[in-house]
Amino acid sequence: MAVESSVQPTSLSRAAHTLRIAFTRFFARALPCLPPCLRVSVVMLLSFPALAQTAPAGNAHPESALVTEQAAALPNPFGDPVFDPTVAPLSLADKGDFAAALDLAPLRSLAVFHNGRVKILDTLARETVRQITGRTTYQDVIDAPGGETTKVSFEPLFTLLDLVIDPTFYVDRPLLHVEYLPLRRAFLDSALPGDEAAQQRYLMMTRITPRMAAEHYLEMVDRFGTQAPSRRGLDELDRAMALWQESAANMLLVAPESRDDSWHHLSEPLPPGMDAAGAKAWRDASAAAADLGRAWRASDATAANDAITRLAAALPTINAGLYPDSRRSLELAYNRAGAFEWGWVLYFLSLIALVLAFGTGRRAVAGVGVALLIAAIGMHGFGFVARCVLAERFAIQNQFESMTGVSLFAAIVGLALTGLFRKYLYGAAAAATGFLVLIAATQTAIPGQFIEREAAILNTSVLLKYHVTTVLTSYGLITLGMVTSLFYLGAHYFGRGASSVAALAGGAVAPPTEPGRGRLLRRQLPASATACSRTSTRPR
Amino acid sequence: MSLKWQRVKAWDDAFFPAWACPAKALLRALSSIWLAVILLSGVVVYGILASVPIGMLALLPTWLVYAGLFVAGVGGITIAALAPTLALTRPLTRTPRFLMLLGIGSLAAGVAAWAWLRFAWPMLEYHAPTGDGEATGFRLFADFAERYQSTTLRRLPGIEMTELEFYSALPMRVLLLVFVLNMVVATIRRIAFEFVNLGVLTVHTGIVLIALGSVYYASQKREGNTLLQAGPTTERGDPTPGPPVGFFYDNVETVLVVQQLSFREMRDPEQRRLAGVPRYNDYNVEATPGQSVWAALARTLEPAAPDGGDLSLRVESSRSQQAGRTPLVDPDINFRVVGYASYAERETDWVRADPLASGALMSGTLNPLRLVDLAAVLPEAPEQSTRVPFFFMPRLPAHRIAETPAFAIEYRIAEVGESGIPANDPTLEAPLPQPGPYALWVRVPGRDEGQIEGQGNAATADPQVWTIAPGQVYEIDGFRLEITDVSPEPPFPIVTEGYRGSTSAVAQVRVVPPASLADSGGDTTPYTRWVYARFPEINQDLVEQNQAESTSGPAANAPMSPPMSGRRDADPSIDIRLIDASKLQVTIVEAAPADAPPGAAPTPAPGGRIVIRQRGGALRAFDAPNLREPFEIVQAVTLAVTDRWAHAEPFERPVPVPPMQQNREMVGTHQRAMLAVEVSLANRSDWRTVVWLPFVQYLEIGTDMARTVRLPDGRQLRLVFGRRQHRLPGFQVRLVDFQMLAYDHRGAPRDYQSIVRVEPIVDERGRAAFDAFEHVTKLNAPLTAPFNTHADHGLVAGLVGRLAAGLDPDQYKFSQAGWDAEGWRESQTLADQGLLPRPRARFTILQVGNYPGIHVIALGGILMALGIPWAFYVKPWLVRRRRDSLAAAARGSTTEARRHGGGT
Repeated sequence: MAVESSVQPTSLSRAAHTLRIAFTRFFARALPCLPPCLRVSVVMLLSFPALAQTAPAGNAHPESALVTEQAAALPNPFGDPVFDPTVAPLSLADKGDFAAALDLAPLRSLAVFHNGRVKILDTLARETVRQITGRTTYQDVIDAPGGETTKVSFEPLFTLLDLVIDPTFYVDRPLLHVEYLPLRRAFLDSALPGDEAAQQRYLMMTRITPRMAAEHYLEMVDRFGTQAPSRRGLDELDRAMALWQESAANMLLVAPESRDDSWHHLSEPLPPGMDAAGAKAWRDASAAAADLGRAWRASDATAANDAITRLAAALPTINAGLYPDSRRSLELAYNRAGAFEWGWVLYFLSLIALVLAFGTGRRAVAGVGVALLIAAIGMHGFGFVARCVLAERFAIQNQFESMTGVSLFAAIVGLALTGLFRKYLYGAAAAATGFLVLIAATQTAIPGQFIEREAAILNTSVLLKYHVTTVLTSYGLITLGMVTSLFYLGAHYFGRGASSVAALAGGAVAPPTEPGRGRLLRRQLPASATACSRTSTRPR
Repeated sequence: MSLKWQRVKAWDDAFFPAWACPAKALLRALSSIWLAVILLSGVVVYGILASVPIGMLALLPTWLVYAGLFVAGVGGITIAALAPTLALTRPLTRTPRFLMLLGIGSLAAGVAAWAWLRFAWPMLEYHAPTGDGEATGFRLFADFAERYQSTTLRRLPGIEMTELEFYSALPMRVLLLVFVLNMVVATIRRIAFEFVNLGVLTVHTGIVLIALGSVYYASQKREGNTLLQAGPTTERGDPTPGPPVGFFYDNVETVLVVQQLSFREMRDPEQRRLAGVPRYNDYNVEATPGQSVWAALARTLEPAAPDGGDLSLRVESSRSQQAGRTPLVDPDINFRVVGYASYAERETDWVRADPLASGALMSGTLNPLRLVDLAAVLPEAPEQSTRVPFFFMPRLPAHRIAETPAFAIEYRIAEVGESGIPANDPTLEAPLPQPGPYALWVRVPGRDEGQIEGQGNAATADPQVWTIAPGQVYEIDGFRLEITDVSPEPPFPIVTEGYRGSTSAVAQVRVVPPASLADSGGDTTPYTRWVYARFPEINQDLVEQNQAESTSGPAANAPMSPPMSGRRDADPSIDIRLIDASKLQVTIVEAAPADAPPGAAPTPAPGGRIVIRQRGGALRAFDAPNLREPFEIVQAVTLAVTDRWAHAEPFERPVPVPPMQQNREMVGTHQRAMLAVEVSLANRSDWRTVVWLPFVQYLEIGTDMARTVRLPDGRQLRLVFGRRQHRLPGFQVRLVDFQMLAYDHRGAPRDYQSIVRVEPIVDERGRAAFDAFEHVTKLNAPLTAPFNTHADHGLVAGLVGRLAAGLDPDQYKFSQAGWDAEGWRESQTLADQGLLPRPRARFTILQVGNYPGIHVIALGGILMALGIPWAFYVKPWLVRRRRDSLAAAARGSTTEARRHGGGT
């Protein structure tokens, strides 16, 4: 360093400063003569200095936009909801009947652009309802005379459309999920003072009404805003309220003209230069959406079904070349299959069968266990592969995907070891690993359950892909090893000591002291191997 | 225990005399495996302390108790259920017995877990105290855990390290060095250098290589980032290369950049390294250069982070500056860091200043300041009396008024020679004809010139005062005035320079001038005058025919410009003023001594005139011979001047941001920090000043964040708190173009690419170390320079070059790290409108780092990877093979011996 301590003069005070002065002079004298693009460029260049002080990192997770901001000012494509306090909302039972009479199937696989990717309406509905209510389906309770109650459940797509078309119905319904119990309790204490029974009911449902939220939100911010868990809860509630009020902005259902263009909101004006067929289809779709809104608010299922059919027919014909095709079917299959949920159930059944096989020594039970394990891996694998295709990346890039990936690798390795060494212990360990990891991933609030875009660096890095895959595989194998060890410990402490351990190590489903229970029992651990397991060889 | 180790121990016993037993013990310790285990355990604990908040660590005992109770409860019940089942099912065969045990065990465990969660857990689960309740449940060290729930050890006051710094700190270095020493000594003294031990020797060699490589790496490591600006676009909208950049900013090290300014020369800035600057906690956030208004008003600042107390870090010039070079900063100027705010907003305070030394007296920019106490004394309960301090800066419109919903106090200083009532404010003591919240004072200046032609009435001899309300209409000298609106505050903020932040009642008066005004060249167009009660000098007219063009309120005193042609300064042909009697108004007019020169020190006991206008308009005015003596404004409420400063200067200082309002990503990065630097002179022990410097991420674009300090002798300094700048060795880079590659349909970013041009710096003889080249830097395609690993150098040259570059601390890697998302978004909108051919970014940010010796570390890793399988699989196989062959040999010799024996 020539002058270690001096700031490089060419840059700090001279180059940038001179450049900026030159630009400023240029701007003042010559700008009016410049073509528009150059003029705009110069203005932009002169206006940037303060921004870069906190420039966003290029490797950051893409910003999540639950409500599409650029469409927030557009009209509701299904018509404006009716806010008339003098008109009583539909009863829950009537709403349930209307829902039952509707055929939403044509809408389910319509493409919609939301939060950075094209998905299907069914996915958007699941995501929205989950964000608002804390679960994928909206459930409510019908009170019958005599204190009887009946639980009603609405499918996500119906709830999404109902929130967009008839949001007032939910003003006094238990819609908004409040995860943090003390916060939920505080809301209910303020909204329903002294009404223990009602409070208990809302507490059990884990949800409050939009009216309660609106009336007591600021009070809760004042009371609990400084506490991190409550603050998180209030933020989530705020997001849920926004979704309840503004989900109409997410109806970006019209395919664009090219891959470089954005998807269009159904209420947008027709873009200039659109071909006649496309324009007609767009107008048809808009009309169908408006009809659907009217019919929906009138609870006219027949008219609504007709509008649904027209809407579903019109939308894919607008810029049809860019309207996704097979991927929509795959996404629908992925949603319907519930691969990871069914996966843990099958893993659990496989585990039970294999444990029973160890205990009883029945080969048939072991066979059932292995078959269930194969089925679980198949289901799990389908979910994983479908997710990779839908996400357009190797799906191990967030917490949820890491867990599903980890358990899949471990389960496959466990199955392979079972086949290779004929030791059902590995199969049981694989089933236990798959069960434990998948149930944790699907039944707890692990982030990343919905398919989203991830940080750009994760998409393109070959090295990172190998690195993450290797690390995750090793985590999976470590889990497999842990479960295997637990079996050994269990056999050691609850079985018959060394003989049970030896039996496990040998892959038998019955201790070697009880011969004659099929081929499995004849595989004994060699004496040298057991000796080896007891006397470790320490490297020197 | 190896034979070699036995031999070595025997040698130790024989060699070391009794008096050298400490040396022997040390050697034995360094040869032991237990020491390695202890040291590695220490590394693990150190790592936990680096990453896990101490509040969470404090929860460990609580969770152990929870877990113990759960295991005891569930396990106890399960065992209690299984024990009799075990006994009862003993006669059964295996399958039913297993099924019964499994079923009963699972059932018992399930029931026990349910019961525990249903009955025990609600009693144990801890809930922090809410606003109106107490804490419930069980938690050890609850307060400590709550306070430090997200604070790691390294963030505590006195430690203040980043994760990297913490791992590089002395305790970790000692642990690792002792571990390496332990490994070397143990390897030499315990392991026989035999083929069979190749694995463990390789592993140990690998570890030592990693350690040595890390030492080299750490000593030469530099990491930071640089911001490359885009150049202007061509007429067709194509990008051109931006300015060259030959440096980057360090990620961790901070500097104080000092540039000395004088009339004769402009010296280069000097960066002085700052050692020991905190990151996470606040220190002495109250540091000021002298007496401040906030201190006088007793305004205290709550630190955002734990208050670390005082700070005193001397900022030295670098060695190269001390070593005989022409100093960039005069050596008699000293700098010391005296405060730090980790996360703060900037706010303006005022400090008392010497009018002469500050130059304000010479430049005529004196800002006198007055401190006034409002006291509410309750005679029946004096202990409940309250005192509220205010400050006023009579020369600054925004600061000469203190306003509350109930009353307003205005402090003025009369001009020299005035009797006390400012000549330019005839409304001050004007009575209202009828009680009311507002009144209009109107005068037509032209009346002295005679009657206005065409008007039957005589011109008004005196100004007119009317108590007004919206909708009322008045006439004066042919002018028709209609009150369209009166409001206690302007509907739009006042943006006139000097008035920004102030407020005033405002009336909108529609004025129709008489037609006769045209004869004298006047404008007869009707207009609406915005009349400000406190600041008549910024009254404005909105002329009607152009009113539609103005969509916002008047920007008071805004210069005339074509787009705002409907707006103009108030027409002088009629003087309209507003009297605000909507609440209690107190005006203090401090008298100036007749012979006082401008800027003279305030007299000890000034007098003045007090004008009190009650709500509704009742007026009371009196002279106060001494403003320091309390004077009553309403019953039991008094005012008194407590201090008078001849001159005050603005002082920017930090106001800590409460933790819940902080962006966590910026905590510990200095990005929202401010640093208090004390500047003093070696030859002037009586002078010092303190300036708070906001942190500047990129110096070249943060020039507005520099602060200027004026020394008493006229020298000036520009100070910046920023990051250390490192020069790139012999080359510079410039941005040619940038692209954000998005998923289809403008989805999320998929990749970013900066086309960067690398240019060598040509020496005096015109030689360049390499040819300039361009590289597309993507997230996963970094640029390497000056040796371009992507270029085709040929096999041998490429290999040698790569190896050499791997060891060279002056070889850098540039990775895509940040971009101008906002600029891209804005330009995308412009491109959609056809104003730009395509979106563009105004800058890109590249991560810059060198990796000296990384290949040595990698080689160590490879050796370990090769040695471990050898040690665990090959060695046992070799040992077994040798043992078998020895056994075979032994069997053979025994047989042979038997045969021979048998034969004999």
